[in-house]
Amino acid sequence: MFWRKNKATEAPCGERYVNPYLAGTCLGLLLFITNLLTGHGLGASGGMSHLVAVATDAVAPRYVDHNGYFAGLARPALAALDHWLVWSLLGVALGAMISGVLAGRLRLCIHRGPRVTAPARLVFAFIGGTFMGYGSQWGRGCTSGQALSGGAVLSLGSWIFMFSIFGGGYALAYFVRRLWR
Amino acid sequence: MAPPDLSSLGHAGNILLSLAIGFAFGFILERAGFGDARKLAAQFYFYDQAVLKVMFTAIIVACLLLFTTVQLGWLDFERVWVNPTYIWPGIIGGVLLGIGFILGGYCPGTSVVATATLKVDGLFFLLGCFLGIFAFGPTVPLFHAFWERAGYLGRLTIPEWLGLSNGVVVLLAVLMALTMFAGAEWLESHCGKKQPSQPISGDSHPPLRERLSGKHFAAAALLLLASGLAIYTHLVPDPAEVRLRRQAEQEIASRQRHIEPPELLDLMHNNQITLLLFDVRDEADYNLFHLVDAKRISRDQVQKTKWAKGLPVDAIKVVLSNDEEAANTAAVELIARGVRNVYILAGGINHWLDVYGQGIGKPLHSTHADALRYEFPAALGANYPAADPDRWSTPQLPFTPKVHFEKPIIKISGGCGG
Repeated sequence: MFWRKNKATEAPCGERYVNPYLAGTCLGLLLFITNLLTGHGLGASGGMSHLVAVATDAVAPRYVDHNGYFAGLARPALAALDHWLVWSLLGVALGAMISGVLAGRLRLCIHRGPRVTAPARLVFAFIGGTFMGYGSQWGRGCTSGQALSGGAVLSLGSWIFMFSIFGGGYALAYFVRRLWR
Repeated sequence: MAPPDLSSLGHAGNILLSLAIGFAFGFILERAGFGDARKLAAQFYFYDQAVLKVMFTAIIVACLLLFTTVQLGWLDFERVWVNPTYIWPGIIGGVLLGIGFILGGYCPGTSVVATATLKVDGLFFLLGCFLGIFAFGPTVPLFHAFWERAGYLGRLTIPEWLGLSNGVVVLLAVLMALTMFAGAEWLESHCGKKQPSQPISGDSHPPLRERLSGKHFAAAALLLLASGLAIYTHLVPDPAEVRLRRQAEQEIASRQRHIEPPELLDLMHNNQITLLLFDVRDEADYNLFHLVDAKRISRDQVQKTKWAKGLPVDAIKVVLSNDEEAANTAAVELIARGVRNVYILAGGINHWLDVYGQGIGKPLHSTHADALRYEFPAALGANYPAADPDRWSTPQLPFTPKVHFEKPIIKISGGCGG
């Protein structure tokens, strides 16, 4: 299986990453320029919401007729897909892929802690994603669009949200340490 | 002034801009190592604090630059999207995100980065995200009212909430971030994988010059800039206020905001709008005679920014004085503080009484500017018929309507969550 074969190549990954303060400064400059040009920040889960709503509409239009939440996101379908959030999400994938190619990190593998099996890791990734997706709708954004972008414009709600993320993570970290350590 | 009108870029241009912004975002996240769940989750086990460092560095850098450009008048903050505050849904969402983060190791943006670099766990996380987002649709009707209203405070920034200037709050945020960075460095050196950074031989305390590195200088530069901004905010008036004040003075000079008594009477009887009458005269004049439901406010009151910001946006506000002078001044102060839909009664209470005051009070020869020209037998306030003229028995006088309803600027929608 591919994850067994790649075991050896996983080790050196951590060493070649950019200094976090430098990466943060670049990200801050990007966020600033984005706000200056467009009047809004960055986003990730919003683009996903549009994709999910449009997909739901394609499969079950009758259901979407009766669900104000999906209907508001999905229609008209062309405009929902032609949203800046969706385009920038595509940009994120492209940018990450190019960076991965340049750094030699574009490799089929599974990142997991030393004490967890690959199938278990995938199951937990899926469960974690479900929580994240559901929570991003509750919080009207994720770490990008709410915590980071809202934090930079000093939105009170975004700072509350940000500290709730860290609070939730730290509260549970000890109990699931086998996943990562 | 930024943000510019991007419609001139055309459809394709806007798509390219969004793609480019996303591209840079994804590139930086991948470079920082955020395509690796182990590095992200390490934040919660103290040995690698990259998440905190990247996130708060980005926030303070962007924040410092944004509020500096706002203060210099280069960026119109009114047209920048500020995520509205919903306290309780935000806390619930945040905690759910924290749980998802520690179980799955990514957030939505970083799972896209991981998937794009072929990490299978990233793909599974991303699929989980889609399921979670989908699950919100069928379940939101169960708690829709709570999600829409619990702790809803609208567009509210921390400086507005604390009553401090933007500059001071930016400085506080920078100080907080730098303190957290120092804590993160300490945690990493104590909980991290031990790596012999420097051979411990002989002198364990190298001279200060050798212990200082680029990040210390960067931190000092940030502090210096933030302090500069905080001081500058207090020395120079808010450029947005200066601009609004100039515009208000022009509009008042050209009498665009002066409404004639018949129009005010019409507004007083209009049940579809909220009308606020602000009487800025002395208490003695107010007690003698005032319009029904008029609220007397002192001339200092209009200078209170917090009070002015708390006025309902969608109410029509009409400022009254005996003549116009005091009302004009008060209206400029209100508009400069961002209050919308502010008008002035043309000719003031005196002109109102000329039109509707038949039979009550005696006209006097005005002794000085902005004085009451009528004499009243007793201080009956709003109990004179002229305080609330019957719309049907008084002759309907023609007027040119000047009130046009200003809505708040429709903000560019932003962020996640739709």
